[in-house]
Amino acid sequence: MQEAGIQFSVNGENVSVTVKHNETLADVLRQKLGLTGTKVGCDKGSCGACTVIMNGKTVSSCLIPAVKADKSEIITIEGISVNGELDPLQKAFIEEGAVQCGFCTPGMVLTAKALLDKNPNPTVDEIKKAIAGNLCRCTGYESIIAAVRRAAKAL
Amino acid sequence: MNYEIMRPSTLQECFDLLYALKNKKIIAGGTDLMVLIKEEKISPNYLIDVTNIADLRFIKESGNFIHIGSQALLSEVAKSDLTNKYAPILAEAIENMAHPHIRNMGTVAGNIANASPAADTATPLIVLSSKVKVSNKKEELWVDIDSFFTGPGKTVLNEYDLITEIKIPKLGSLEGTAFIKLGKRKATSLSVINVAVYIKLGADKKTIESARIALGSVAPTPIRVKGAEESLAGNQICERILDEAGEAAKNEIKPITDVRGSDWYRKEMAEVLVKRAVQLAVERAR
Repeated sequence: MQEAGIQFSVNGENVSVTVKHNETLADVLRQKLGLTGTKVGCDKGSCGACTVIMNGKTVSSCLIPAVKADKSEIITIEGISVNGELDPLQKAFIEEGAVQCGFCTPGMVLTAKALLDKNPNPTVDEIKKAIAGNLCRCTGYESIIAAVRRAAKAL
Repeated sequence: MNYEIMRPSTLQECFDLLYALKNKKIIAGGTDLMVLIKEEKISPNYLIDVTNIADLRFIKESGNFIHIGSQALLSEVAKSDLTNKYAPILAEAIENMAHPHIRNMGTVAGNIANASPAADTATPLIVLSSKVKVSNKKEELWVDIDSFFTGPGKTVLNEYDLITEIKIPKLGSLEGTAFIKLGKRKATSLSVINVAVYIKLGADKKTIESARIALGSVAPTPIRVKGAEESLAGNQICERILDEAGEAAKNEIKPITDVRGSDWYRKEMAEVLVKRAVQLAVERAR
């Protein structure tokens, strides 16, 4: 099995890892870097549980061969809180009851963060479109949408 | 799933690899390919990652065309001012594809190379009379999108070829387009049927000078419905000719029944959506 050494930044920190060619970014984040906040749900890019931010854009990390992360900037859910302090978006999720089992939450929060970074005052429709790639089996989405709106108001 | 990933940084390197390696696949966004690999439907020995080839990531204009490099991301193409001004139907179609994370990874070239009959960028490219630049170590040639698809999952590309660019004539005055996708839900769904329409109005804005109508998911490849097109050409715009176009499209196609819908439902929807899309394209042309 072919291996490659790659270097990239994760949540602001530079890391060097040796990865197998057939490993995905999700595999490497979870198993080699211990960043298990990123989840693997469907493992085929449909559910959004594996969402991370790569070079400023949300992507489905279960479909990305790890070698493609070389020289990239990755943000995972672990990078959202700063010095142990929750980001206002994370606080809004808690306040609105938008976290039930928590499995979709990392992907949802990162997606919402990417949205608010580009569009600080989204309409409900814009929020729905932005989270269209993140499935939640618990909340029915209303509390998630309310959380994003709440965070937007606080910005 | 045991493969080696090659990451050429120039076109020349890439062409050499395509010639030298056996049992290889090109990977760009990987949003179709990686699923096929994980489901063990294909087992390539090599993946040639073309996303490092910087000269393929452009969206630009020259004269009467816009040019989309094969590595421009779907989301970039959809948001580009050039696309929205000169080929809005392509932006419209892309916004209906999969979901935002996939659109941040996938490419138009990948969508057409994968050649699903349901490919959402295919029907817009067809009604815009686009051309695809196919390049390899020995030559490069432009292929009309009309001749690009040869069967479900099959194109004119051979194992040495790489799509490098897609060229689209700019939309002008008195021209209007519309794209409608019917899926089983609003995102992350393959088309049950998709419809792309291009209309050119006569100078009086009351007649249709010409029309191009393409349907996806109703045949082994995305297809044009020339009967419906001809039923519109040269006619005054009225409810009756819109009805006739819809009916002509319905009668022309022989869709199959599959997991996403039955043959009769696709025919019913072809009639409804062709009429709706033509109406929309006419309004926009005005």
